[in-house]
Amino acid sequence: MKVKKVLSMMLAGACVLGMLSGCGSKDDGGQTQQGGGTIENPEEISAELTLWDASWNENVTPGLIEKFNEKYPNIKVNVEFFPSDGMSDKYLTALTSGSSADLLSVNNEWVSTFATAKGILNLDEYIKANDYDMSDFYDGAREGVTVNGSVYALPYRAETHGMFYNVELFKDAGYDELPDTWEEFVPIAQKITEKSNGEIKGIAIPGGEWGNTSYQLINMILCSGGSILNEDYTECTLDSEEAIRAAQLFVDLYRKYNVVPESIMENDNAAGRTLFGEGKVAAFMSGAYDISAIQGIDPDLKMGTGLVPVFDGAERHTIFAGWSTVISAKTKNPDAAWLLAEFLASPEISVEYSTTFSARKSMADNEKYASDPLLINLSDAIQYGNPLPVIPQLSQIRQIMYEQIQLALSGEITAEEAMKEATAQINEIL
Amino acid sequence: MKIKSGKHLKNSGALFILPALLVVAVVMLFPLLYNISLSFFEKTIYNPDWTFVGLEQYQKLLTGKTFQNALKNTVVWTFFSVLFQFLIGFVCALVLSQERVRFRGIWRCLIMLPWVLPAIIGSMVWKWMYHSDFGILNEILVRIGIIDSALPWIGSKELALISAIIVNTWKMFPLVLMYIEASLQSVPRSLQDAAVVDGANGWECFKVVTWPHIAPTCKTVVLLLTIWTLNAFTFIFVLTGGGPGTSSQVLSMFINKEAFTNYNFGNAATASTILFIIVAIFSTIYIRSTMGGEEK
Repeated sequence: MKVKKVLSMMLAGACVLGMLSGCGSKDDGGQTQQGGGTIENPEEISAELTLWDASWNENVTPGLIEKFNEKYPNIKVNVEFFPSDGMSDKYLTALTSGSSADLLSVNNEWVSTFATAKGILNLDEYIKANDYDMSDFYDGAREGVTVNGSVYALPYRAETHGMFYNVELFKDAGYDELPDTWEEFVPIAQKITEKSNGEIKGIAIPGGEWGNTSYQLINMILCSGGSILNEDYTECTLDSEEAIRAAQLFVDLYRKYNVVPESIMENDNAAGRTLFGEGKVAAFMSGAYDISAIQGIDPDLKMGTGLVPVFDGAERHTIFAGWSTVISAKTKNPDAAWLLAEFLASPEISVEYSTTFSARKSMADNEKYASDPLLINLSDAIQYGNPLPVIPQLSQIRQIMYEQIQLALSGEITAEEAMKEATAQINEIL
Repeated sequence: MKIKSGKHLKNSGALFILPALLVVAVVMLFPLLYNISLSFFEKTIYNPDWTFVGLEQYQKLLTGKTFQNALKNTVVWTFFSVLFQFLIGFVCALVLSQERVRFRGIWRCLIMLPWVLPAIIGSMVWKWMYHSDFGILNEILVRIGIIDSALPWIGSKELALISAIIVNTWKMFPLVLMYIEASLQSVPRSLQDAAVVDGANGWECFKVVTWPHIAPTCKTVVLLLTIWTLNAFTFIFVLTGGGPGTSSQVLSMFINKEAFTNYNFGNAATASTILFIIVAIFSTIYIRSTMGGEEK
């Protein structure tokens, strides 16, 4: 009997606890330790910070922290590295529960979600108090970290997709360089595919992973003059003629022209890279970060890079992507975290820190990029970059696009039906 | 020291289990009740307020196409996974229990490998084996002439769920084998011999002597497999991600998407509660059947 009593008491206790913690979370988001923005005698600040960084920065960050410590010897920085798989979920959970690092290196796409969840610090006061100049950042970088008019991150890395092509396969088919439009690209891809009896395909596009698939679809929609949402993010525009034209080609490359590997529905971008590196496809779209990986697969592969083709008559636009650092809203050392963020986003340091390109316009002609022919074209593409919509529903929108385009790729619905259904579903969540 | 009274001793029992109870309460009971209470509220990560909506989320989910599809897939996924896991495990156990089979120890070890391997690693390996361009499975099937060209195992609507069921079966049948083989060893040799002397053939011997001994184990195994498969997430998450479209989306995958892609915790909690109720039904049957056996 006693055990029963104890059990029922615990049950009731847990119930009450559940309700309390649910209601209690009402005010949690607002409890931030703002540093107020003004930093007096920054060199004398003493603090211990933790930086959560991406695993691919493992070789670079420690050296940069040493440089940081030359300037700020009393700020000790512990760096922890994480792989990209599950990174955004981990960061979001940690930021909202207050268990994250002080400073985090994040993909610009996540900033609006983190900011809306009140997990990261609004940097407006720091920017104002320190007269911090934001004008040297690319527009795409600045817009990408601005949520409802406030800046939430300091960008350091910028990139956009270009097209990688196999120089020899193109030459065998009679072409010396990448064409400017998709309309010209399709016959080239067909020729390469036909010449090899289908052993080698014209282009790899992903259709089996939501992030990569939606990203490349959006890239093509932008190159067609379309967009996902209208300017004030109140309405979905995927049912526009331009967006449907792009989605149609995305599907046709596979179903009609047969110039995409059969494995499209299983492939992510990494699989496309492997296919390209092994010479099984003649082209694929990606960013500068893939160059070394391709060279790792086949060091002798002759590849070229160029801009993603546009659709006939459309203006050139691509997705502006990048990485920034954000400060946890619950950090005890916001001033020291700001100093580190500012340091990592500074012009010369950002060139070192970024595994692709710097988010600074003034660094566009940096020797690191200008000396590499593969990088020049990809660096050129950055000026055409537009950030993805800066709203927290972005991942949900991309998930919807992915599910619909998959149905079109598997032939169950047409590309037009897919875009119209996606529009209806997205309008519902806006 | 002398114990003063029997009553005292009786009370101390509750105190002994209290630490364990507290742990269970914190790590299991609290999340469960928290989840159930959350299912009556509208709650997303962007909105710190809990808005009470009663049963509205249940009604919306149960009448929505996506959830119904996930529910249907869960039934197909669970039924066929358990069916094949059990049948293959059962047959292997019967074969391996024959003394005629040589090197039984080695066979047992080899068969146990899939079960010992972490689910995530097994799924990743299978994902590559299934791949239409690099996959070894298509290569073998084409070479021995079973198929003409590579099949999109995890990339087609028709095959995605079947492919996941194959992996789940591969992973779990060794466990069935282990349970049933252990149970087979408890069948008294003398009874089998007596049946043979009485003129029973192989099938009759199995029906009258072996089956009554292993039936309770089989029931337990099927119930356990059902409970585990209902909750299984790794295989589908790694192999198909619920796709293409939502063709292989089961409840656990649906919950994951609602919570971690859409950040709609209220909805995810509602779906979790529905899954909890389904699992609880099977668990109750399981507990009753095992407890019932002891009382007899």
